[in-house]
Amino acid sequence: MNIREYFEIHPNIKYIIFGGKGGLGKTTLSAATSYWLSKRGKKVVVFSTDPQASLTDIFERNIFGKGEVEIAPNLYALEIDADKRIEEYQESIKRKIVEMYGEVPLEIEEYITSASAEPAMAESATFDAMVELMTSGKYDVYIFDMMPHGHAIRFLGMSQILDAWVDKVVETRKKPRSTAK
Amino acid sequence: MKESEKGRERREREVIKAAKSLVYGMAAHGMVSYALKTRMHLENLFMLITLGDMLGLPILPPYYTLRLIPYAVPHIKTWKRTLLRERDVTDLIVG
Repeated sequence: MNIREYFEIHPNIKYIIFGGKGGLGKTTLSAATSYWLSKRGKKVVVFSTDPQASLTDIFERNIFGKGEVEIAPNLYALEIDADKRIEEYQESIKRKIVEMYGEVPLEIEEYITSASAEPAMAESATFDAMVELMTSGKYDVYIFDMMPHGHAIRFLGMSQILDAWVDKVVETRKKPRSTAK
Repeated sequence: MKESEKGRERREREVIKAAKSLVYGMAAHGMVSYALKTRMHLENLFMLITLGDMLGLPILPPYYTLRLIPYAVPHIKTWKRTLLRERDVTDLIVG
């Protein structure tokens, strides 16, 4: 069965992930599939999670760090500038602290600034962008052009780790609330 | 109302207050202190899980914990002081 037949059998497919080893044609297939589906009337977004994104090359449009760019009718492409996203995110956190307390204490400001150098921050920013896009509900089909295989598996595995962490945080938060009320 | 009556009522109130304090001290104070202490430890644990890397404990990349920071700002100083001051048996042995 080829990809075309697969999509004809599954016309309501919403999320498509192209993964595999480097050089297999993930980006080529992501771009081609998104183009083909958009031609069939689906509103499609193709998102590169690869730090070495090459949708810019394949569509011959500079889309890096520019948000969702319309490439053709019904076809949108997105390449995340993770560093820029982290920077904007840090600024938004600082702004919120200023709104709440009038100023950002020095040690907190240093912590927020130094956080950008922490391991996996870029991956977390990309993951966050991916989740934000998926939950936006703006498109009929979401296509993800993943980074090479091992990296992609770890990247997608983040959801499980974060899920376990959030459960732990919520549980730890509930305990003191029910103690010494 | 006469001054002597007012004085008697005040004394009665003080006696009742003292009796209440006595009963609280005998029956509940230990439990309340214990519950408050437990709550403090649980609050510290919550801060440790969310902001542990502020003290050099890298639990997760801080991308998502940064989102919680604005709400934790007033407690961070006290939390860090409490946690860094904490000692246990092993500290006593090692010195």
